[in-house]
Amino acid sequence: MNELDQIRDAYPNQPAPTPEATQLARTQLQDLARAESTRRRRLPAGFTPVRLGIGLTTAAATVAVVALGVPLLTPDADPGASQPPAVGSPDQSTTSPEAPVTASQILLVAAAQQERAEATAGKYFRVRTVLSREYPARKDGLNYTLEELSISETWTGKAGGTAWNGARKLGAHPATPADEAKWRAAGSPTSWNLGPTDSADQHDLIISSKPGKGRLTELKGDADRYYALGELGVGQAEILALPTTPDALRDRLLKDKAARAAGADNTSYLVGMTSELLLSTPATPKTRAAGLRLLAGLPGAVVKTNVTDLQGRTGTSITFDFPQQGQTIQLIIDPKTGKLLSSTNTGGKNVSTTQLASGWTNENPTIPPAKIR
Amino acid sequence: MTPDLALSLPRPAEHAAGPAPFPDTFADDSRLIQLSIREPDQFTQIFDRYFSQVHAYVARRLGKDIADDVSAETFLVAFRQRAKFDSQAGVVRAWLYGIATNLIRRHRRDEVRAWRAGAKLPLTTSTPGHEDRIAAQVTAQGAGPELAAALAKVSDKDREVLMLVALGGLSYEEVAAALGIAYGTVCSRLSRARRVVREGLSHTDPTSSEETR
Repeated sequence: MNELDQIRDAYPNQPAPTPEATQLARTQLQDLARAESTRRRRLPAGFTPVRLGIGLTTAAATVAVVALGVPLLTPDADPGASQPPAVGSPDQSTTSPEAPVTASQILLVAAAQQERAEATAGKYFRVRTVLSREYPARKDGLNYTLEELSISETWTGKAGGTAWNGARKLGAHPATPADEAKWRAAGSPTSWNLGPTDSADQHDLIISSKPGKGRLTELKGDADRYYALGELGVGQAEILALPTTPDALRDRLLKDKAARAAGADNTSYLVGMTSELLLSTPATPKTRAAGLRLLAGLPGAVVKTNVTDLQGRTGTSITFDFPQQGQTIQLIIDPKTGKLLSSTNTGGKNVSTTQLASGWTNENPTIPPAKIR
Repeated sequence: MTPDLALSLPRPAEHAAGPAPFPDTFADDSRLIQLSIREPDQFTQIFDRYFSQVHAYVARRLGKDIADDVSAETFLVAFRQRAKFDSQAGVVRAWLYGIATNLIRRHRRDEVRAWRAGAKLPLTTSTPGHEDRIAAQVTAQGAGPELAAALAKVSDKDREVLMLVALGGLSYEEVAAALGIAYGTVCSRLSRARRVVREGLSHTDPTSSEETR
């Protein structure tokens, strides 16, 4: 027996993958393919880096942007409008033509903004999330893709109180202009039977172009519980006590990593958890600032200007792409105020989830309205 | 950060000296990949054609459980790199095996440790999981610790060629395309790997042969 045969004998054929394993792998690939179609549509074609109104040497840039704050984010903004120029700002006469602003500079500006914000409070901490899911529609040989949006609002009460979730489907529509053309050719249907689901009773999945009625559910035991942190969420007291320096916050976030996502690399984990922390918890302004500074120190961010979020607000986006995880996280920041408007996580089963701005409210929980607010 | 898997892409220039072109039936695969650049969903067809093959190879290398994940990831990586696939250079199957090979290499260090464990060579770290099972398997299959020791002596690059030929059943042309190396390099690596294994199995003094890595 020669050595090749000995190797073959030592490593015999293994059982074929189970249908479940094959289906899972296939679904992951399809999700990734759809996520790419979604990304391609949603992200603007322009790739213009933000330009500084006044040029700076690279060494001076980071410090100066922090010092100057907002005006550098918007070349056309009046630097004197919101605050006086900082002491260490560069002399105009020594500046070169426009230099691009990096993602980390923008995040550092936003951090400086956040730090000055007032801490607020209210009855409920409300987080709005929009889910976007894609479905294949087939009729008379016409294949096109539907995008269905739904909104979910979580109202987290304080300790001793209660928590609620309100949710509503916002309706489905053809995903792209090409899909829309096919949809018209198919007779412009307004509801679609997508066939049996993989649920236990295999009921048909039917989706509609009209918004649903929505529901409001009490989340028993979820008062004073924020899931951005800890193995099983943490209470408000712990959120408010989070570190206020980037290094300490980083260590704190990584403490949960083994329990939450042992396989993830540190960068993707930190981007995911920090954006979660920023948009779904009542962390203090100083902790938020630390979170933004932490993001500023992470590699790989890409900046785009004039990006529109799901609410139609225009901002500057900072995108971290993790091809190994099939995941993209995009933060949209208001260039005028440095406020974080939304974060979108693309990849995985839901295709895309967008957390819109969150905050304390004294309103009482209601079913979300049938449009994005 | 994660390793750069792009290194696995076939490099056409080196392959140009290779033998006859691949059969026409593969042209369809290449067209599908081109099409999938604009229509990502089309890539699912590549999955349907090759998943079981890739899985079979990875399962022989790493065991069935790890193979589920590694083969799934092979197609995710392939999907992300599809724009770089050179339809002139290699068949899709070889390209996929090349990606799988790189993912398998992630396990390489532990795999080698396990071989050493199977060969009762000194261990520096304990290695839980599939590598231990593979080592146990190598021993259990009757090949004995000698084969485990012999394989641990083969350099990483040579071992990938050896495994693609022995377990993957790839032709030398396909191995060249999969690893992005010249046809002649496949031949020389394979013959060196076989020699090292042969010598290991014939009880050559184990301390005399150099660790190649």
